[in-house]
Amino acid sequence: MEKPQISTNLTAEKIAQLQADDHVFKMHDNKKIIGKADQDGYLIIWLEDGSEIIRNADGEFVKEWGA
Amino acid sequence: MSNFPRVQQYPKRKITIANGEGYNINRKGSFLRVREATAKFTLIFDETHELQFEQNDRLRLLRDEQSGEQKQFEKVRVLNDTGSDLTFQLEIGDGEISTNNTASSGETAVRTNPDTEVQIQTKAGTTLKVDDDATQTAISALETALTNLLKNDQDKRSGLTTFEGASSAEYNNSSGTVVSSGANTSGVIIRYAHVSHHGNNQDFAHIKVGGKILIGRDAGTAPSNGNIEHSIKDVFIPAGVAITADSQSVGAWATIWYEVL
Repeated sequence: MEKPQISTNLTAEKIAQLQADDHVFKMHDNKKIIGKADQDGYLIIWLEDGSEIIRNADGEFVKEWGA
Repeated sequence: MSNFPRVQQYPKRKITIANGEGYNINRKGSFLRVREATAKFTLIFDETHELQFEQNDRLRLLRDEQSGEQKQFEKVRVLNDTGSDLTFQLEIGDGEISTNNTASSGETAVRTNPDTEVQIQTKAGTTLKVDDDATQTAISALETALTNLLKNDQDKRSGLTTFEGASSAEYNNSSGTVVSSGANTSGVIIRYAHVSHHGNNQDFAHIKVGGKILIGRDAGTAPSNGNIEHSIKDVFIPAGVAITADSQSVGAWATIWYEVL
């Protein structure tokens, strides 16, 4: 299963603009989630600081996609 | 002489002969039907032509193409080569005779009794039959169900959409391969898919099949400022074709429920 890719890395200015347009970001560890992909239970989210969080199908957080 | 066909039973009453025995019938004719026979047996016409017959088989000789004269056999010999006793009775006659019944023998035989029974004997000798009310009722119910499914009725078709056995995928500001062409070995059913995006034409989302958009929009084709909601369900994707999804902004979503067959 190929690892999904984030489409657009949002700058702080873009995030501020979206919030000004009433977009509400979900949060993870007090960081805004700027992208998400869920493939058959495998989840990856991208955060505003450029980091990514991966969770496998068993709900465990892992470092690599597919682990 | 009357031109009406003449048919009589031979012998007058059915008889039984032992295996290996023969029974001669010295009767000319152009038509013969096996009225009754307990097994397949051999008929020898004019001590020359041997044919295998069974109950309800018929033989009718044609007219000579050149002379137009009706062909006839002079006599018939029943040979019991069945391996056991044979009980039989024939009908022999001449004249122009045809019936509205058809009997066939060989690898496949079909025998019907009006309204209630159809029997099919396979080459291997297995008898398939529909001869009871419960089976008839089940077949009728199946026919009705299939008819309803085939109707272009949205309410009935909705029953096809089930998530049982299906996987899901969801993309927001991300893209991925839902099912690769290599993983799609036997086809995929898209049970339900939905895309939405809100914003300008760079905020599109779509689901592609074989590299072509199934639902949603691509860059440059999305409205400059507006919302799009597209959904689709119960689509079969042939084997070897990839399914991909793409969302280009936080305001765009692509969701799919699918079953890999």
